Amino acid sequence: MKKMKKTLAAILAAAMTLSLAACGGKEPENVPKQDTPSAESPTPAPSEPENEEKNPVTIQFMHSMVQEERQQAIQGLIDKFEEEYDWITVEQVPTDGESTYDTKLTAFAGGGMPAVIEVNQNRAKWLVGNELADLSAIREVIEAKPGEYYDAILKINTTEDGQNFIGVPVGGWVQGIWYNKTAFDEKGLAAPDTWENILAAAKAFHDPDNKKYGIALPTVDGAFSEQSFSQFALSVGANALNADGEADFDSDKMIEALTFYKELYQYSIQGSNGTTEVKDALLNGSVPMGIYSTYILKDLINEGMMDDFGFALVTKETSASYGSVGMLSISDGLSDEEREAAILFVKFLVETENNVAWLHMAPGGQQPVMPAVASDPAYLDNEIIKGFEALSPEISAAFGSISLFGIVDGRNFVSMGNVTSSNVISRAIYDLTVNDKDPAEVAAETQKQIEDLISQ
Amino acid sequence: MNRKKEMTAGFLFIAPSILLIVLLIGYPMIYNFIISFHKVPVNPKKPMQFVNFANFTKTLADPSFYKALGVTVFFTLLVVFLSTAVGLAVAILLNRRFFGKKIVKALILLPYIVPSVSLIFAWKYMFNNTYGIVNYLFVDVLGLFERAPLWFDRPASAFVLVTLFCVWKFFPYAFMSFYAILQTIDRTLYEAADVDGANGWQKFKVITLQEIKPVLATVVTLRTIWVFYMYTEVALLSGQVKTISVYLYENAFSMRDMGKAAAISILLFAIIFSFIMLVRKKVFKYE
Amino acid sequence: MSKKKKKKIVRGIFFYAGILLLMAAILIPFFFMVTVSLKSAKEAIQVPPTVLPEALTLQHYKDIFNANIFPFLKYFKNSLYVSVLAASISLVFGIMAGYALSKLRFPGRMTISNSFYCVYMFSGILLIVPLYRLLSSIGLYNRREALIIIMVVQTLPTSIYMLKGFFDTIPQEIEEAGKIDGLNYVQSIFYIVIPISVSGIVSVFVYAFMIAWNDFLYATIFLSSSDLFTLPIGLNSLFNRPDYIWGRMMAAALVTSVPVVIMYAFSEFLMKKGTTEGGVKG
Repeated sequence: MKKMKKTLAAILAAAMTLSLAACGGKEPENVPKQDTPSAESPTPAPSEPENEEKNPVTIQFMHSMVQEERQQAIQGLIDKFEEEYDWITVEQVPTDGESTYDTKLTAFAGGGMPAVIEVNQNRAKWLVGNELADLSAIREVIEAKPGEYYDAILKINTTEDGQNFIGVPVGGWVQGIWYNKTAFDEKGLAAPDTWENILAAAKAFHDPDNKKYGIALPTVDGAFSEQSFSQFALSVGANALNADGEADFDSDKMIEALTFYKELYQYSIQGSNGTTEVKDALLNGSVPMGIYSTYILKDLINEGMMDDFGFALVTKETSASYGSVGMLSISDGLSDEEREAAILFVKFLVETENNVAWLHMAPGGQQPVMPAVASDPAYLDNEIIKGFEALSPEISAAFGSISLFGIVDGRNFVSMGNVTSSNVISRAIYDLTVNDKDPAEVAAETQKQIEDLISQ
Repeated sequence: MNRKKEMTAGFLFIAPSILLIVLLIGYPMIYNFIISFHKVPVNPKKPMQFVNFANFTKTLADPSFYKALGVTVFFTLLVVFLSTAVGLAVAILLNRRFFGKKIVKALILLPYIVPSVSLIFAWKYMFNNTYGIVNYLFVDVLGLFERAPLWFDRPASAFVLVTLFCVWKFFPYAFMSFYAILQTIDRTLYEAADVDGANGWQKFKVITLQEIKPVLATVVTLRTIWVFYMYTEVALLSGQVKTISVYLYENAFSMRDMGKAAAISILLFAIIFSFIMLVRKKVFKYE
Repeated sequence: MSKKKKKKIVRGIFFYAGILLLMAAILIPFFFMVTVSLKSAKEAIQVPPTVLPEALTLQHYKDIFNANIFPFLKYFKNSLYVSVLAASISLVFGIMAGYALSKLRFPGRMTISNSFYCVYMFSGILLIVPLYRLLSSIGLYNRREALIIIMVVQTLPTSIYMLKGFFDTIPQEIEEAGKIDGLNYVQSIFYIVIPISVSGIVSVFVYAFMIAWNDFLYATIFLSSSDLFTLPIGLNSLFNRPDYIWGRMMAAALVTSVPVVIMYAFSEFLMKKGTTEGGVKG
């Protein structure tokens, strides 16, 4: 008995020392890049890609692709890149998907950003606004490919002063109204483009007793609601900021849009509607229309519903679609070697062939941002992309009608990035609908919050 | 000689713990205090800017702060009271011999041991707006509501559910503490009370409550701090219950106002500190 | 039947009814976790819902262990790494400090003993801002080691407090005997204190392990890369994707609970054994 206890004690003690040693001696596996002074080694001239004596350099690439198969696709691109530029190592930092990406980005900012970051225009603006992006590096990539982006993309992509770019676009998606054409035709209803047509159709289809609803309207306390609502606001000419970049959320037009959104919610599936709820409702037929992005194309094709569906843009005084441009940002404060590696890597990713591979990670969801890619045979050679060919004109038109909060009279206000990522507009939509708040009250509250955010 | 050796050993043995606590709790608290007087840019390369009491005045002028504080105080009172009361009641109920006691005692602890994230999935599933069993039962079978309630989407119902969840999850802690102490109470005390003709309530008040008082004090104090600061359960169950922790977290990581967040945590600490002092002095008459 | 006997039976019925009700209240969510994990994806979101699965499937359990579908094992390993190290370090420091406070006399001992528990006031949400700023500035952002350090500090006060309690019950004579045998303090810890307090030590390890295993708040702040996610934040992130499947989430939730439940049961078993053997009282 005594002996056993002794042995046990010895084992425990050994285990403890071992674990202690393991902890103390553990080499960091995943050292975040630090701001190493560039003086460490002579910097090779960036204009010599054939240079064999490059010092090995490692850069991190942060993105939001949580799906394993997308990470594998990205790894494929990285392997190809590393073969071509053998002194560079690229590490993937896959980060949580949409829901907490903003938080993670904030958190990363304090501890040294990865060299290359995949963002959308809001996050790109946020990086620029906080001086976390290397504008000259981004410009270097874009200028290497002059005139190759769609105009609509470039409009979103310029900085406030029109002199720089907020990121390097790699793909994009648009959001609008997806509706069941067949069902609309049966009832003799017009396509849900104007506010009046949308409301009339929603009323016509609404039948909650039989679990059928008029529309699937985003109301979730998350970015989706701001995107959806922005189409209604911008189609009536209400923007979150005015031409001087000041908060403008309590205008009469804005309240008109809020009031309409709230009225429309009466005929929507109820509760907090996020992407899951809207998509499920569209696919299982409980609603004839809903607001969603091009990411639904894949599901419509897989479910054999593509032929029934149409795509319309919210229209009042003008047509407004929401669009999100996927961009790559290069972080500020890199060493010269890291900076060069980052530029090379981003350039590599926007080469036509590699960009096609990137877009094919989410065929239909991510649409090309360069005409050369859109017409590339390799891009078109995909089951899903072939499947929605009939809708291509509508989707192109949607790209042309992209209107965004914070772009006023051609000026792209960077401070809007702060507003969007703080989620105040989405919360306002949630309060307006699910919590049944008064439009004017919501407008006033949100106005104040936006003022605070801009003054930061 | 020996005395000195003992002292040295004592210091040496305690040093690592003290060092860690000073380094990772003491120093951060001081740093927190410093941050609370600064405007903190997201970009770490930009310097912090001294703003005097601006973060405090901003917080104290924010109606959502008071709302969050009110919600938190109410929430804490409810959860602490209910989980303690339920824990005590169950401990008294089980403080006897009966068939299946071992299994019952073990199962009671399940909600306490299992990670919150796992439990939250189960609750969210049961209270789902469209296919949840609760709405099916209340709306379709019993017809209690005409329209399916949006449980976690409305602030009021979400508050009730989060409270229920926390009581359910944390009462086993109180149960364990009370059960252990109840077993040490001398049975003859109750028998003597029986002879004096005391009823159940009198016995509880005079004997049980007196005996468990120290444990009660600890349970209530610790739980109060715990619930007051609670973030995970509240934030994951529903975004609609804005307690002070959720408010702090949002200010730090959504609004990215670290200075204000630091000021909030200083205020929070001041509140909990005065509460603990008050409880120790007044209610439990310590020292 | 006498009146007294009748009364006893009625009370017995009420008692068991109460127990039954209590068990139902505790177990219903677990019932749904188990049944949903055995239902097909479609049946889980069926209206009206089914109580018992119509067709049993073990597919979800297979899926969560398939790294190509679900990164469960990756998260599991991260959680294990963080929790085992955090609990071990907390235990080692706890034993040293607990021993010092219980058995050694040195100035300030009482003050330290009394103030350790005050640290409890500085937990959780209160420290996120400064800890985030401090650890990020020394390059510990997005590193599991940051989480380990924090978990050690967060569990240390309770570990010390618990261990001191266990050590206090060791009779002074046993240690005196050791001293006569020429044991120094370190030897005395290894040969006398630890062997006698095994059940207490295990329970402290389990306590610290549970805290680290279940932590969500600090993990969500300090870990960004999904390769480093622990189970709580990993599962929550999977749950927030539009393509989550209920059965899979429930299966993962159940398997996540297994280690802590087993460890807890084991430590209880040791405790009981210790008390019945008439050894050290817990």
